[in-house]
Amino acid sequence: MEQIVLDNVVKEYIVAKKKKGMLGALANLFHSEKIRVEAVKGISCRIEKGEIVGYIGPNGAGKSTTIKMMSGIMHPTSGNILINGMSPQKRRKEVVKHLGVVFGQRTQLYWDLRLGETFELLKRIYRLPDGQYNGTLEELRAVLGLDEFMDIPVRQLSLGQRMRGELAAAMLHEPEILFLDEPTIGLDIDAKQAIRDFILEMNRRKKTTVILTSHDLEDVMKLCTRLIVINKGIIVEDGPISEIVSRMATYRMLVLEVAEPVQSIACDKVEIMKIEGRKVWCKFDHHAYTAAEIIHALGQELKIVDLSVREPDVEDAITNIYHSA
Amino acid sequence: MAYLYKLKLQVQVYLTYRFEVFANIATHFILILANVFLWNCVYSDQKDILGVGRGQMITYSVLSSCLAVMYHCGIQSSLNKDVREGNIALLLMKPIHLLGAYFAEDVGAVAVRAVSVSVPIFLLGLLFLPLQPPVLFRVLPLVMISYVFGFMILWLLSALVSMFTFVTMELGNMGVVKDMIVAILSGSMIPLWFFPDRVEKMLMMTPFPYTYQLPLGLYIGKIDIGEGLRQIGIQAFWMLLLGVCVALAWKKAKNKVLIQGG
Amino acid sequence: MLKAVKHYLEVLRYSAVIGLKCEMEYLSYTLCWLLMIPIQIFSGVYVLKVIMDRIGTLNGWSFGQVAFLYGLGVFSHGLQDLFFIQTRHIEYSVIRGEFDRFLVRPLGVFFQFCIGTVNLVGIYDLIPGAIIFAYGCVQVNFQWSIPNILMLIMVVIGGTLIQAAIYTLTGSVAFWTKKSSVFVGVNLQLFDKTTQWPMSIYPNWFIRIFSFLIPMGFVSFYPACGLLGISSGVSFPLPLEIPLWTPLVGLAWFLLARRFFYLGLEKKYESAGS
Repeated sequence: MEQIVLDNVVKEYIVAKKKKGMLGALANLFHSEKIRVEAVKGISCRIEKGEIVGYIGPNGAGKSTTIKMMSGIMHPTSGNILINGMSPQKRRKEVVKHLGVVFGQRTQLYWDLRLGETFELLKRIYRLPDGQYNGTLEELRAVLGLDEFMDIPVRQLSLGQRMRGELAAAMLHEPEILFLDEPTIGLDIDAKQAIRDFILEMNRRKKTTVILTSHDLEDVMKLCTRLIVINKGIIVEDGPISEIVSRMATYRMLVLEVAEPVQSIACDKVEIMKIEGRKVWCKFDHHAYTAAEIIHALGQELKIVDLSVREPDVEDAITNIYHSA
Repeated sequence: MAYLYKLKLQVQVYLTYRFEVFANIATHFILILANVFLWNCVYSDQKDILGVGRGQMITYSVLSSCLAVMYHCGIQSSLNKDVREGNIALLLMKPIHLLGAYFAEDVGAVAVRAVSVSVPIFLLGLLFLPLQPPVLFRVLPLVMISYVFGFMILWLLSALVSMFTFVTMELGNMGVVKDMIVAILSGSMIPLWFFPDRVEKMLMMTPFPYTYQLPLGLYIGKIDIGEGLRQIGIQAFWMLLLGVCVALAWKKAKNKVLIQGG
Repeated sequence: MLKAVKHYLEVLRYSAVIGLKCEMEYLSYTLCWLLMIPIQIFSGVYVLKVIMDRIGTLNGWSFGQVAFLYGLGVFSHGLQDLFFIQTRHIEYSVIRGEFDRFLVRPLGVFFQFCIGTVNLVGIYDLIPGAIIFAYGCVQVNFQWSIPNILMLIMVVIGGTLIQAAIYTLTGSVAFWTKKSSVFVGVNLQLFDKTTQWPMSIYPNWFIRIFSFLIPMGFVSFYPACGLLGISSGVSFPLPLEIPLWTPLVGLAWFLLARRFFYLGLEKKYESAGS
């Protein structure tokens, strides 16, 4: 079932261009130039129920703008968005009942209150029956380990604790879809791991669809099955993560240790990256040659003592995508 | 030089908000209008109340609003904010005198406000309201001096009140309370000679009347030059006293920050 | 319909509880307000008293009548502070993108925004207001009949809505300009001048602007005229001194302002930040 449908979605901003300096400041009093900026330039995609999708791109690519349009916060300039078959703009209240949203950079919690008080308010806003509320809360407390800080005002929580609180607040009404905008930003390794475990757990138990943006590619690798890459407002890649990686990261790294120091290598199947004494780093196109072929070719020329082949990873693939666009 | 740069920066910041500049003029003018109508109504049956005529009283009230715009003490909120957000220790490390920096910022803001709000309002007043020129042009230098001194008194008072935040960070912005007290006791809403004699005499022993009532009274001729000079002397006394208090409080506050690290 | 109202009331009730808890967290701030608000309110009325001691009556209004009017004005101001304080801070919320969290919840954004802070400071307005109003009532010998009491309640509610509407209308300008806080101070001052002074001191054109363009006259001036049996001196085909106008005008303006707020939110809200 297609749960989220985006059709040719465009978002434009109008930005005032200010002149600089003292005279400019005076001139701006009377007139300032306006320019149009397209943050999202016509993107389309379809997301099924139960998917965990990594939505990634460099800063300013339009990730947050897309998430905000999908969650009904902003209106697209043109194009259509359907969540569960409804427009989040036209039927906001109905749509958001089934959404959970977490913005890593912005809190949804009440600064001066304890988590429990915020949850009580949310219970009333979402009209959750007592039974359901208590059940979900019990579950969230256990999975997220909320008990240790339930009774501390939010402003005194550590970032990791606060983020766990945010996730709980977003999941309290058992949404079908969860939008996570940089949920692990600024967190330490343990906190990141706790959040990743939680996302996987919710997806497994409740078939929650998750759309995740992150600059931490480890998040993406550990969680997502599918990757959508956006750059400069356009979707440049969309597909299973393994496929994108193997297609975009065409090179493999070969690290050799040779018996005697070398200056250069004659073999044209590899590209030398670095030579340091008896250690040589080179890369080769793994679609054109197998590792065995390369080692064989190099073995004719050098006396190889030890070697290792490094798998291409998401990071290589993403760097390639960003730079080629 | 650093202070001059601060001053210039403040001017630029203000000019960035054109909407605010125009809205400020328009809105102040409406408020002044309401005051003018009140005094018109008060004077509808009599020519003279306590030796002050209708034109004089209206002039007093219009200029009081112009003055309020120019009595801007931003230190009250900036110092409060810097203490609460914990920037103060860092700011104290910088190689400029922090109080001096706040002062430069405020002077910049006052200059901008004077040019962008007070002067336009004054001109509008001359055109559309029965605003009078000063009785004697000779008093203008005195008016200017008493304004500058008045600003110093208010600014030092603000600085002093803001330093409370060092002692009790929990207390909200006491500056607002101070503003309220100044508004009523300085003669900015209504000249103190309207108050019962005993109350007036008592208030003259506080620094407040020397901020608004003195320059305004001089301008409309209610206070003559001799009396004006005497009161400017009192202003100087208050300035000195407050200056010493601020210097002492600042030293204490600074030590507290440096020892406790904010 | 009834279910929806119950839902909103339940959220409102719990928000008030939260408001109380927040207030407790910052009890020392309360002290500041407890000092400032009575000074402000009493000094405002004292200025009028001092002037009127010199001239007797203000355009036919005795001091008792002025106190009655003043108290009425302070009541709706206080209630506005209590329930609609947020409408003064629309600019801040626009710039900081604070509407995001309301937009992702299944409840009216404007409602969530307003009750997000139930500001108990408003109650501190009501106390000095009540003292001044009580003084006025005694002086003018106000009859506490059931219809009068009902009318007073309607007037205070209507006046609250009018003031909230004006804050919302002017504040929502920030959706387009990113700047509207300049209006807050002006509104505060204008409200004081039009609800705490009898408007008959103003020239006719001024009164008309603040009756028909900006309905401030209906907050306290016209209803006070009606309740005290004073002529407003404004010629209009319909008698303006009927207290019932206030809730009607208040509701109409409030709905209009709410519409304008949503127009800005839907067309212009950019949810600043990353």
